[in-house]
Amino acid sequence: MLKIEHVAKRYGRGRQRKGVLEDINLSIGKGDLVGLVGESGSGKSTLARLIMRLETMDEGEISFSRSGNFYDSCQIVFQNATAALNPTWTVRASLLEPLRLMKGDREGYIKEMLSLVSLSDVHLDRLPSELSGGERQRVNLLRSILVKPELLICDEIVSSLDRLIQKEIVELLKRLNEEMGMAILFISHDLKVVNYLCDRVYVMKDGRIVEDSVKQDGTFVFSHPYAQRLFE
Amino acid sequence: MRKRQVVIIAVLLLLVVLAGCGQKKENSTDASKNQLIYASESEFDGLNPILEETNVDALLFRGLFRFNEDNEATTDIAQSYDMSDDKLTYTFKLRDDITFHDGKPLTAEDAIFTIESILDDNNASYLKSDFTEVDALKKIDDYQFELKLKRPFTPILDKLTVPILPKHAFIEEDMRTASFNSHPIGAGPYQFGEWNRGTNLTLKAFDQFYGLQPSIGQVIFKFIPDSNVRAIQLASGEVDIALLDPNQVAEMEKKDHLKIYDIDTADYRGMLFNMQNELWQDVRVRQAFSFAIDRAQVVKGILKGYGEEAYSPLQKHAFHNDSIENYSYDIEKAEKLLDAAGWLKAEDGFRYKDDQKLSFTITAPASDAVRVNMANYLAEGYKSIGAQVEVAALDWSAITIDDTDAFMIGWGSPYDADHHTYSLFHSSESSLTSSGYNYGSYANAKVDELLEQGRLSTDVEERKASYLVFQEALAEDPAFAFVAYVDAVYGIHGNIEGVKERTLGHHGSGFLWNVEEWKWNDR
Amino acid sequence: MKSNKIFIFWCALFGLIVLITVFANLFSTYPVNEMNMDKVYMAPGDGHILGTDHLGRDVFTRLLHGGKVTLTVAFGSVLLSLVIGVMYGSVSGYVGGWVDSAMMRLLEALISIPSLIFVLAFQAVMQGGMWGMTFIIGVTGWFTTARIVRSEFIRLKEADYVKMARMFGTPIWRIITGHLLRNSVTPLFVVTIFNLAGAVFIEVSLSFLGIGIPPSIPSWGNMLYNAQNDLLIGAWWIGLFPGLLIFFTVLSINFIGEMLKDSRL
Repeated sequence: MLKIEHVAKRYGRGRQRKGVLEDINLSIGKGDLVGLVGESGSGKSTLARLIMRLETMDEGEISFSRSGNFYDSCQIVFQNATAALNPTWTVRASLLEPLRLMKGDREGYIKEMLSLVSLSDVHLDRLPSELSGGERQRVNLLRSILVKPELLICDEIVSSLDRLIQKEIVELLKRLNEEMGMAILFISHDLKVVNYLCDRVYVMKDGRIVEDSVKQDGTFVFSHPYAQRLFE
Repeated sequence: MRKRQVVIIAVLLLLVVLAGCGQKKENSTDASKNQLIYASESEFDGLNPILEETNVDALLFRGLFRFNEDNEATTDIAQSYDMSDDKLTYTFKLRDDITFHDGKPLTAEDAIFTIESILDDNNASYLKSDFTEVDALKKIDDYQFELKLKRPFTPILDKLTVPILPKHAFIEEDMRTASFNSHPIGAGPYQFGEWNRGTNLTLKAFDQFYGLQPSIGQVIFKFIPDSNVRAIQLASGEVDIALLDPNQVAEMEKKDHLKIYDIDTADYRGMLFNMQNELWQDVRVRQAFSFAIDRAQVVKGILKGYGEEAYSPLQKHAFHNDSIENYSYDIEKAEKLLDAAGWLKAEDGFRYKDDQKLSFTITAPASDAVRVNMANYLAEGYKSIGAQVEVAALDWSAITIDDTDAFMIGWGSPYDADHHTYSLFHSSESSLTSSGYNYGSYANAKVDELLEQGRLSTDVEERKASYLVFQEALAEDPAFAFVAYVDAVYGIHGNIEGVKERTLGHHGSGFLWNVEEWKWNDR
Repeated sequence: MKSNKIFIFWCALFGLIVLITVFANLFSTYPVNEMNMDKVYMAPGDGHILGTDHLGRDVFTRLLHGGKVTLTVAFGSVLLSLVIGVMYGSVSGYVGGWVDSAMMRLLEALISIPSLIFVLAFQAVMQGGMWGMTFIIGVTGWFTTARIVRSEFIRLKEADYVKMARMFGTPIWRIITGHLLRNSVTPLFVVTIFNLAGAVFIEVSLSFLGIGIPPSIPSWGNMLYNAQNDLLIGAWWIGLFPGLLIFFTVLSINFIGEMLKDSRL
């Protein structure tokens, strides 16, 4: 479904020009649960932004096999839920935003979907500042899946949450994957979660993908020393 | 930025509070100097007396004739004159002992040159209408010349008070651009000294003056357009003479070192109806607006009693006609006239005709507080007859009188009845088509005829008759809504002697007419 | 809280001034333009609590009506400058790039000229009435507003929720109004408060110079202008009371703005 070939991205000009991504190859199929791990600064978020067409690349090609409006079938959830929600909008307004063109009972649809992320009607009239961190991230996540995308990119969405809520969200993602066949690219530096959630994983270091591995018998096997060290 | 605003406002406030009790500055000028400082209301473009009238003219120049204390023209540079029996030819004999400030003698050629220059269309002199009856000029010898008229015209002697220009100063020079205009040469008691544009003009006594040698060595005209500044400087002694606004007089009277002269003038104020405006076409409307002015209150409140109610341009003249309609305050009459003219009162209290509201704007020069106050008072009063009247107080530079609906005009002359009547009310003097002063494009055939009769007849009784009827005709078909004659109230340093009062003209001009007779009794 | 009490005090003072001027008709004791030549320059006292002016008009009444004019001009012009400033700042901040650079250059050039000069130039061209004044002050008073809007937009348009909105296909006008402007309200409000003080100040200054509101309409500036002639005579009340009101109005607006700025930003 998503195919990334030889993608490179550089910032700066002239001598100071620095490669952030070099020769990235990655593919995600329908319903895949793919992890992308690496230390912070390794270029994961940049790659996410490239996929989301928020930035342009310098080399290579990214192809997405679905036609129609790209953002209807591919969505992202940002790491910082506080920054991703307009502080002056109620939850309801924020959730209605992606449904601008939807026909029918939008309100009803939202209420129906709320239960999916374990939220209720009472949250609808609250401002983001009146929600807990976990609730905010669930609203943030819900907003991105309202359009039922086929691919959801989650950029470090659980990193700043406590274990209990992390678990809840990860379970939710798993359920979404199973029930809706939604493919997920799960970007994280938290290997435990990735290990639990994903079927396939890419390891990034200094702007390159150093290894990819498919889960076998519940674990990943790596040959690259960096990946090995990472997953020890 | 914000702090500064607060500070500025605080300072402003402080000024407002303090100014009332603050003027205690002592005399700052050098009291020993034998000079006179005049607070001049305005500066002039140039000092050429045939192009522009200034209050300096009386000091720099002299003419063949000169107005005496009773505003009668008497011989001055002309020693004597003869008039032919048909009253068409005048022969003038000039004094032969007169020199200009540059030392050159004043001769008949200069007199002829002056009149010819006024008549020359290239010069666009504002005095031209005074001399249109002149047919020919002939030099007899250096000190004699002959003037021929087309028709008998008695006011010619009045008109010959015009300053004599030195012909030699205009050789190969254009009258309008000559260097003379900023450095004039005359034969008057004072000669040009120095002119700092925007600040002051200094004149020095001319020691070869043929008449009485002036006692005061220097006269300085200090240009102070703001009447408050004039009054403050007069109070502090920075200037020696200033024309005062009526409401300043009471305060100035309290100053021991000042003497107040309340001088009768022929200077009236009125509202000019610009006939270009459709509204004034109906004479009943103009009459109505003339009736709806409470002149007594204007004189009392705005002029503080320094003036009198006006109804005619010749009210202060020997030919005045006091049996004409004087439009004494009568709202009822005004309303009836407007009703008759088709302007009917609607529910909102205003009058309408053909869906048009009865409204116009009175323009007044912002620097003239008296005129602005009058305009405001008139506008407010007109509300009671259902007219919506706005006041635009503008800078002189922003005013074109012939573009206004109505204008607070100020005019008047103490001299011959022809002066400031013909050029104001004769249809040929429209400011749109000539250099005349008929700013409202007023036209009335009967008025035209009477003005011509008045200027051309030579018999005093005949002339008087013409002007009496003229006043009647003008009152019936008003060009202005006359409001009031304003006294010229001058504050002058108490140690100056020799001031001779006579009925003054426009804006109290002419107060300095005999300045060579003035002297400081302490210097 | 002490500062809270002070804040309430200034708000109440300003509110009171606005109130009595808005309802000038209720409080005034005479028709606003009624002239009485028998009662010129009456000192405060019997019948005229703040005295009368040179045309025998009641100073108290004119003060209230004058305030209405001054404050209407101020509020109107601030509204206008808010609209212009927001539009200019929005375009500049949202579009960015060379458009932004060009617009900011122009703005800097405009800011470097004191706004009073602009107003004078405008006024010379169009001798306007009350609405003319409002227009003039409005079209010359939006520079700071535009700058604030632009910098807020530049900051906010990188926010994640704006990125999300773009991905959801939210229309630009909705992004601008819903996301960007909604979140710039606080600084905008503060700058507008200060503009209000500035507008009062400009009206007063211009009218004080005799080039503002036409003399037939009373305004605080006009009253001060006319009072110049009266000070010489010792009629202090004609200038003092409008002066005081202007002083307290501008002061209270400034204090309100200052405290809002400190507490909310």
